[in-house]
Amino acid sequence: MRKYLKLDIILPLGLIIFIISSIIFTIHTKREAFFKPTSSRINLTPILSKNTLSAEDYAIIYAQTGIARPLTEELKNSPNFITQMEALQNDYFKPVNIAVRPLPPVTGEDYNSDGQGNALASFQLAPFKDGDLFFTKSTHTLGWRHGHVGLVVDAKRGKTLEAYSPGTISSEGDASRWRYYPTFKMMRLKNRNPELIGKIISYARTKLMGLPYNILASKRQGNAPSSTHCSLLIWQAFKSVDIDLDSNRGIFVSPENLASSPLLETLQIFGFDPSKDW
Amino acid sequence: MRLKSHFIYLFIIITSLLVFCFKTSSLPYTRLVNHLKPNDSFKVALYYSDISLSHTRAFSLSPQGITPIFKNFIAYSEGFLPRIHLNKLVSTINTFRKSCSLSPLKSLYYYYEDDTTIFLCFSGGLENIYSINKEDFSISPLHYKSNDNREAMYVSSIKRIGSEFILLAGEANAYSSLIYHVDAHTFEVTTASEIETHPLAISSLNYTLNSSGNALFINDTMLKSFSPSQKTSYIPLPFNAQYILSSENNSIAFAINASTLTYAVLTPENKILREGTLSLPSYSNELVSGYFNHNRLYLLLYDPYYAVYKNYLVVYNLSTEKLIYCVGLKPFSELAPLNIEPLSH
Repeated sequence: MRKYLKLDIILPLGLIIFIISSIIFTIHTKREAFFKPTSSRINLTPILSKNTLSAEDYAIIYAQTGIARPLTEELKNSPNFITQMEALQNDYFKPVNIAVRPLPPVTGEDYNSDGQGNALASFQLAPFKDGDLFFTKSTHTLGWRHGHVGLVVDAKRGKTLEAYSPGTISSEGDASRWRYYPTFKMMRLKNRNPELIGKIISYARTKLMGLPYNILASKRQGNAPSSTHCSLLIWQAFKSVDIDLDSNRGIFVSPENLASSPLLETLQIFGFDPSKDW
Repeated sequence: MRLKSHFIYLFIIITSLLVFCFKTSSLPYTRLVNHLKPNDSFKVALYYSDISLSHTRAFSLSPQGITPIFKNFIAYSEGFLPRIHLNKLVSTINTFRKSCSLSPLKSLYYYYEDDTTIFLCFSGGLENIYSINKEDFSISPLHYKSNDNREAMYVSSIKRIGSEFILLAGEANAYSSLIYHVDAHTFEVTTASEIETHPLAISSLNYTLNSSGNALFINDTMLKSFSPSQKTSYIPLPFNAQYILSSENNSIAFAINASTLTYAVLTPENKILREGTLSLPSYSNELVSGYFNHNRLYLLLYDPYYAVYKNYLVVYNLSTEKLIYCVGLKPFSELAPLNIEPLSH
């Protein structure tokens, strides 16, 4: 009788604690789900039409389109520069409606929803190159918005290499799926060297593809790792050419650690606060 | 009384699980068009998955309706296969590789199967392509010259023509394709060709091998055709082709513009057999997947504006130039329809 009495108390109490915890974690993770542009939208054409852009012009373009100076400088040479930037500006000010899909066992993944549970593309990807890194803050576990990161291994065919989640193996995916995240950041190695990038991608393809996901995988696996996770894969790829992207050189590397690396420069953001690394 | 309350809890949990299973097993859809004749039939495998491709559901679509396929499927780069079948094949390959002191392969890119042979093309170059004899389950790697190989390629099409297999692959990090002719008995690469392709010819929907073994690529208002014997030629089209699919006989090049599909059917000799336009089911349509079979064009479409249905599956009879079947697919769990292919059994 006493045993049953205990179960009658413990089960409902456990349920109540679980519900309250879920509510608290949900509120906490929702806080940084998406950063809306703080400035009003302006007509960018007069700035985009200039022959030479000032530092202030680049800052305005960034605040209006999410395209940072290094990429704006590249795109400026293209014949449809103004049209392209205006389209990116349209996307940058689009509202998003965030829904969450579960990633077992305990992770949630935000996506831009049409209100009926269907995923919508949030934005268009700016032109990207081999070796670029794609980040998102839209994955979270028990209140920790850890995010996710992938490596562009074939920009021409739109392929990224990612270690996606527990129970999967690292594999190539379609870059266009990143458009469905409410938050996105594209970064690149400063002073990008195509030959070095080629070596990084070659290593990633031969040594980092098909590895099982393991959140506890170690950085000290040497030249032939047997497991990985999303940010470790990136770190392993760049470390193969002696580039350490872990900004705090800790035991564990997270997407935030990579995004904070002084070796990387931002190219495009969506839903990220431009004043912060993460 | 205490025991009774626990049975009640158990009953609630089991009932919830059953409701969940029942709710997620049936795919909601609406049949919008059915102009099939009474003895006419087809069967399409329709695959749904999530963004990580880790949760997959498969359905069989026929004129009688859509029913779930109760098999566990696993995604590979270009499609879906039954998990048990794929795991067995991969295990066989990796046992062979182990005997050659090679590391195991895991990332399957392309799968081909005919009456006698299976090809498994893993990510990488020719060294990661294997054939399996279906009769005795013997494994054959390809035999090739090293300078014909590339570090990475994306095999998109394999066809058996006579006593050889032809492999068509996109070269990684390049706007070019690779065409290999492989002896069907020795698995020796007898011919290797590399051809520059249009920047828009980047996926398996943009180039194909026709029934004669010619590689066809979209190329603005032309199709680029290549064979080792005839080299490169161009077939003018009255429109900018976006996609090209081949069947057991003819090929079809087509373009989708809002609610219209413009097409040209070509013979195995690359002559235009017929051309025209077809109406699509929504005001805005994007192609997700498709195939061409027995003069019928099967398309899985996506409406980005979700005017009525988010996805449509349409079947066109190109002999009569008519839409003969169309279903509107309603949202299903958090999965999206990603692939269709003919269902043989």
